Amino acid sequence: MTGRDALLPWPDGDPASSDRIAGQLALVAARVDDTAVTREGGRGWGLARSWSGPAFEAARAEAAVVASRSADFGAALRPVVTALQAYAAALTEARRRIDALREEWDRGARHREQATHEATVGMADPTLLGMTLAAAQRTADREWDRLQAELRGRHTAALRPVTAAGERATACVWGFLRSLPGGSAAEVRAGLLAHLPLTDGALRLADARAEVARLIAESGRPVEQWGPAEAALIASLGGRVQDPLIAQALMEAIRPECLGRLVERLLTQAYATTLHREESSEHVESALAALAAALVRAADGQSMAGADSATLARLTSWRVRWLGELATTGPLPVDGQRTDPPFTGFVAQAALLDRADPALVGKGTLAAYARIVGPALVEADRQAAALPRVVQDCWDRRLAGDGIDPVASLLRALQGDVDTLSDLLLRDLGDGYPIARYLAGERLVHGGGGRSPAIGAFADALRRTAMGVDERSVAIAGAAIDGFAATAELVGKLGPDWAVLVDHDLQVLRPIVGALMTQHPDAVWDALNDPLDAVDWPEKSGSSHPWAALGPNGWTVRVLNRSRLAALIGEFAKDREGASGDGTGPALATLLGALIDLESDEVSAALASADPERRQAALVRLGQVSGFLAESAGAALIVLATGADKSAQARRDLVDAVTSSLQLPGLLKRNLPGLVASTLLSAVRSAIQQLGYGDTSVDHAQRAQRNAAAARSELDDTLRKLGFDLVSASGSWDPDDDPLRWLSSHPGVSFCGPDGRPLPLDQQSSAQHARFRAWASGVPAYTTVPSTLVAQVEEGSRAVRSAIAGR
Amino acid sequence: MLLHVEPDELIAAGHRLSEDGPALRALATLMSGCGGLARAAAGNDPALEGALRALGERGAAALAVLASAAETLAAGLADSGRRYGDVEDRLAVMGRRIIG
Repeated sequence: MTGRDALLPWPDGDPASSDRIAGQLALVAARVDDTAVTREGGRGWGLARSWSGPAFEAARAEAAVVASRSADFGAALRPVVTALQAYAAALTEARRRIDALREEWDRGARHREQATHEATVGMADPTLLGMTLAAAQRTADREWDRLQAELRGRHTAALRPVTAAGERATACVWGFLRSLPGGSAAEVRAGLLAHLPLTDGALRLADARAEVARLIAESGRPVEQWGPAEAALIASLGGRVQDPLIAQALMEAIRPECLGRLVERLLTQAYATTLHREESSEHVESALAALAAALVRAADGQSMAGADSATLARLTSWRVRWLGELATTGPLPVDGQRTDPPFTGFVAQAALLDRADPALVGKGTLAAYARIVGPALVEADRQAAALPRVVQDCWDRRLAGDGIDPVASLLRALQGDVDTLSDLLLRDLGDGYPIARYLAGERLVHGGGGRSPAIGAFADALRRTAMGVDERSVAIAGAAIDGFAATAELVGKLGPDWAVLVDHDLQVLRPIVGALMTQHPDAVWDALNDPLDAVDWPEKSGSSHPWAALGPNGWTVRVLNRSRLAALIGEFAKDREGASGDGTGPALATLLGALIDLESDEVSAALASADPERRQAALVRLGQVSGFLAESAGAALIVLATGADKSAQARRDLVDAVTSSLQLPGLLKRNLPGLVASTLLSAVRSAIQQLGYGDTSVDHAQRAQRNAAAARSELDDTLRKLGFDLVSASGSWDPDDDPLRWLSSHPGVSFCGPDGRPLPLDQQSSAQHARFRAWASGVPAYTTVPSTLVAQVEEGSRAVRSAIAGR
Repeated sequence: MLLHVEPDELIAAGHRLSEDGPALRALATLMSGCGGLARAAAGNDPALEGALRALGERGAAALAVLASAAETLAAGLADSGRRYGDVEDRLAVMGRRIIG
């Protein structure tokens, strides 16, 4: 740089750069204003002509906010453009003026040199020349100094507009920056989002999609081809898959059909490494866990709680569509597999549900999944030619799908969420009946289904959902009881061989269905006494269920007809796993206890009353229920025993196992109800034993018939004694027939206990019994009650026989 | 609740808006480039240079947010239109069944 340039420098700013910035900002301002959303959204939106409703209002509000923000952005940018253009112009003008000053500078310098030269031209006198030269030099120097000072002043003046323009531009830029909602890029983003609530989730989803896209790019091949090689990559997502938007982005990228294929490949690798110990399956399990977390989080309707309504609406919309695809593709074999059973989309989903972290599955988490996918999953199970293969341990696995039971996985995943579980169990399948009915019935006898994990999980689900007395619980209980009873009825119709074949399958649910029936003992008498004895249920209307009825004491179940009731009680009689005395006794004893609790007070009060009709009604009810129970239990057992084993000992073992388990559960009052319960139970046990042993050599019809008749005869004797004891315990006689009065007028040994009433028959000595018979012969109740009871027991038994014959 | 929907119009609107997102993202990139020119443009004016750098950074952030908003809106419109269309088709089929 010359001395001139150092003294008259250009301003530092580059006008071309300023112009370029101004031009870019002008383009931005113009284009922001020219977007479709700014043009259309800012004017109330022409879509109003072709769309109305709340969704439109929401969309219009969103568009208006975007349009307004865009317009504000463009408007705030325009002064910046102008100021920068002015700054660039000032720079250019200053440069031009400084260039002019430099030219003047150069001219002044030249003039200074020429002035001395011209002053001395033609002079010969050296003295004069010297004086003239010095004077001219001084003059030229003075002029030069003056010019320099003038030029410096003018240079300063030339720079002043630049400084002013720069300050204006700076002020304008800050004016624009102040119009943005924040003091940094992050704050601006957050501030804008605060005014654009709809984009909060969308922005995060965009980030999540970008992350998943990076993952896919890193894998180097399309998702359709993903397999164990990508396990480490998927696992690298780690805890981030718990972000619902990452989960959504991942599930979007791995579409349902690809998900099934990927899970199948990962499982195959996991089992292969387990079997051959070739390499660690650590990444595979981690990848499956990540996919499981993504599945659960993407399905969770509450995962974005707190997000704005528009984001929630979009997420919900996507979720419904995605779950629909999971339901649609679920039954299809992955890659058209031909294994039996095939590895389907539902098996893949089940494998992931099995691996879901329980901490992620809270109340309502899988509600949408259960509502949309659940029925399709169970329907696929119902339609399947073969049920999932049950494996004992990991060494027993041959195929990726072995040991995975989608129904079991689904029920287990929902076990902590009673509402969702209940809702699922009441959802209808293709046959018009609810899932609870299918699992309690048809599923038990579907290829050994009773021993599959699904039924264990279902039994657990029933304990959680069906033990209540509210309408929903009773509807589930009723459906399960009906499904179980219908299957038992079918098995009874098919004969002894079938009874033996499915005995173990039905056993899994006998205790829980017995417990459900125990919750509603009134259903026994209602079914027994139902004059309709309907062949099938009426069509249900709306959400109501025909097997759940609102009775005088609240919601209770209904059993379709006497045949189904007999089949049900017959199955309860076969229950041999309940522990007695702890409230979870075998099904029949538990039900009997509940029936006695229900009937005893009325029987006691009726016998003590003078009302013959009431007494008769109570005896009819008690007798018929007892007879029905005894006959149903015995008949079912003899069918089972007939098919079970031809050897007498095996049959004895079976019947003994059942009868020895028939103990009354819990504590019962040691008064009349207790008496009734224990006596009746003894009677039933005796009947079962007599009927159940049957012929000890071969299944001979006539021998079996004779044994049954003998057993009935013994039961009648027992019940006749029970009738005596009932009369004794209830004091059902006129004051004139009081035993103490009779004893005082007939001296001898007393047959009464401390309460002044006759002792039970089996506690009387021979002498007491003789005197008791002498007294009782004059008391009418001792004649009518036992005979009525026996007659009604026969009536109950007859009802069973006709019901079974009518199947 | 009364609804009036012309699905095709929604799809068309979604299509129109679908170009806004990429356009705004391109503008965001352009704007962030302004920050790179700040030094040259401002010369020895640190105040102006700082202001221009902030302009590039924050302006780009704002445009990126607006771009995402526009993309979301466009996608939502198109999706709504498609699904309304599906419903319309199904209703039409049901109508035919009822009539037939």
